[in-house]
Amino acid sequence: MAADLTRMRQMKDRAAIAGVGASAQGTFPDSDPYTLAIQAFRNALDDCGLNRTDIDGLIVQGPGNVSFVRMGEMLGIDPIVGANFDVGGLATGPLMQYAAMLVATGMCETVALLYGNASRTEGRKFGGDTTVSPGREYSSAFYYYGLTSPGAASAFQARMHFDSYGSTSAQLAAVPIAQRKHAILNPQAIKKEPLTVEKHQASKFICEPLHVYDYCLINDGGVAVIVTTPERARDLKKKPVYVTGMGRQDTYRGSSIPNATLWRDTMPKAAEMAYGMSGLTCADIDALMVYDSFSINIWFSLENFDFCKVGEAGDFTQNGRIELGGALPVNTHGGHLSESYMQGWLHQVEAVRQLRGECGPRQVKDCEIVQYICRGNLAATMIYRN
Amino acid sequence: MTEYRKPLPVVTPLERPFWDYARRHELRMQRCTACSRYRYPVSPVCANCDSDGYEWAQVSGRGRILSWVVFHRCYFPSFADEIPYNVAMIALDEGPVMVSNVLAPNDSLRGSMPVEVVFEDATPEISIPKFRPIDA
Repeated sequence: MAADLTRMRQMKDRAAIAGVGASAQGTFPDSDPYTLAIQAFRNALDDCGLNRTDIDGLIVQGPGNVSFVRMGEMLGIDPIVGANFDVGGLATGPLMQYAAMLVATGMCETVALLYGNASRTEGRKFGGDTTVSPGREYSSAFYYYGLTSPGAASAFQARMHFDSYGSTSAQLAAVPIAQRKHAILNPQAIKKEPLTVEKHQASKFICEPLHVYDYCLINDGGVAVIVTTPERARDLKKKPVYVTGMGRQDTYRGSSIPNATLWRDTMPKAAEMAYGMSGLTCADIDALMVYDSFSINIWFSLENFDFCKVGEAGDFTQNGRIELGGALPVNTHGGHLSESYMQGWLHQVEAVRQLRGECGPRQVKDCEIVQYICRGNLAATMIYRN
Repeated sequence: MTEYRKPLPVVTPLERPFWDYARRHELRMQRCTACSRYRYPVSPVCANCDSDGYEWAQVSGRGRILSWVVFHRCYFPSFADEIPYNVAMIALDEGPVMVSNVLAPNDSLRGSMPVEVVFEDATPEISIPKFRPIDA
């Protein structure tokens, strides 16, 4: 089984991101996911010059039960298609793909993707549930052993990487350190105190061997992305950003326990699909956005997408290579570790802003191709170009 | 027995025999009567050969630590007294990978460490399989 790349290539550059927007990011005790998403949506409409009545596809996402029907009711629109996908942050890449498909097939002309997250205000801990959630990226089946939280699954995998390849937690610190440097240059970012290896190593563990700085933030905020046809996008306020490649590969076998293969058999298939569709390779990528619920995800993404050899991400990420000015800048906005925890949606926004040249002091020079990768049991990738 | 406060498994009809055997301190798993492959966690159908038939076969209860973590954050209030506690992935000699706690100091755990099952009687109905180190 493999995707039909000939047919996928017909979809290349057949959908474009016209507008992006974010609400303020932080702690907003009087707000809720709908309000935050709608604030972001208004900013995205302003960004491209569209009106909300132009929206004929409405995709809504957020931790907890954020309803696309209720959102449409609040906005006073009856789109052709509405949807969400209740798999947490694993949904972001797939939903971007569904939006591109809706537009490329002609079923919709303009799809709005709205994301609202009030996890800080709601006191969400991302752990401690005793209900089993099949299909999620982590085990919820073994809570009676005290096993819980997506972070624990990543901690198991980090230990496997350390044990198998001799990599270390001090090497892994290069990921949060790079992203903190980027966040310092990003006005939207929440965490700005400089980070060092010593500070990382001395910090408390959440689920050992991962330290607190290896974990994403938990905060409130909203994000919106507007996808439309290339023809429509070219008539709008900002330069279009084209969806030029996309890939996906799921892993269901063994999904009740943390994935012990580090997705070696499955993630490369998502890479093959996206590079096959786009005609690009990882050597063409000017900036990389990686879903970073935990720092170790960057290593698995780099290795399984062939940016470096299996087992070598520890060495690969040293000496500033993944920092701005390095050979492969990763998460130039600061990512979930330092900017804001919007479950991959601000990664799409940063890709667009980099490709438009809007990033000021954190702008990647001559940025023409940006890739998004999310590892996991629903591995997904997007390749964007300007 | 003091009152058991930690979360207990919710036992589905398919898992009932697993827990009935566990109460007798026997570790048994579904084994396909067509291709001999183990099914764990439980399933009504063999993921390897699509057969329905299975038996509850006793396994050795021996295996090796594949990976382990130590919880320093308390997500379940009932585990508060045990922080920091370990959770390990254990590859049984027969193949299936279990999640469990290893009854040993956290800093003594190592990858590939040999372990064997022991049962913790949580309630009169539920005994939970756990593991302890053994000599190789």
